[in-house]
Amino acid sequence: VGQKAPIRVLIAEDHSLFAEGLQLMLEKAKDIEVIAAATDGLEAVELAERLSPEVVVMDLGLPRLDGWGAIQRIQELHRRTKVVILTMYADELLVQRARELGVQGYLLKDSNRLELITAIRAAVLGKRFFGSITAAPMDPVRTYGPIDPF
Amino acid sequence: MTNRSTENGGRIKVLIAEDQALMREGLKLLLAESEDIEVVGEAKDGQEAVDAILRTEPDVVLMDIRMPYVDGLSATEYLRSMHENVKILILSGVSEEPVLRRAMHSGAQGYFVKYTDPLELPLAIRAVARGEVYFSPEVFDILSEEWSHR
Repeated sequence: VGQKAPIRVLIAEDHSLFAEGLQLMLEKAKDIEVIAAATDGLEAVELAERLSPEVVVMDLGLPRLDGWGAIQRIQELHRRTKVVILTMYADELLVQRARELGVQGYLLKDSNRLELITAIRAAVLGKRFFGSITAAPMDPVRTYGPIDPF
Repeated sequence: MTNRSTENGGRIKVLIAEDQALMREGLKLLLAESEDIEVVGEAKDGQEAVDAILRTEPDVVLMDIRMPYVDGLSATEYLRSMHENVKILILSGVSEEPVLRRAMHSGAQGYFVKYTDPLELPLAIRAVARGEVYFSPEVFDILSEEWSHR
């Protein structure tokens, strides 16, 4: 009684090794509960439709349906579900696209756990968290082309 | 550099070479669940990996391929040219044949695809530490053939 329900989070990430690590680190935050993990964009849409998560942590390079497509479908289904993009791409055009889509967060995979948790908490409150990506000039080392298989 | 783990309570000493901070943190949490595995160091690129390997003398290195400055395969090839007999398990999101072939010729003992079941990772580390080879099931056919020609 009196205790707030944890934030229900869906992870959409095709690298299951990374997804498992994310789940382990998010579980350390008592106010966050990972309710499911999807390995492609279509599965993310299906799970979001069925489970109505509060936040989806979304990779962009997903098979079957990429992250952008999944975000648009999820936003059509559940206006209240917030999206935090988690990607390797430090590209201002992508950040701009995320803003235009009304995405709540944009973080690089080189962020730390605290930044990710902060972005999720901020998203639930309707606040945007774009991490350090918009605070500093582009780091050429982190800026990869749109297609990078590694 | 053999029998290092005997100095370590029998635990397998692992070094993580991976440029993405969230991935490194996730891997540490994942491996912390295995009592016989100890993470002794981290590196963010291939050059740091070489330095950390010489300093910490791990039994097994989890080596990401795509890292800035010096990539994981170049670092592996360099270590082999230095006759360093540390065992290297490549971590990669790539399953394309040319990359797999180069990885096998770099001197690595194993190849773990990032979308393989995470529960397999400790098994892969143990196998490589014992001097066996490990290939993710998703790339087993290609790599086992390549290994036989190595």
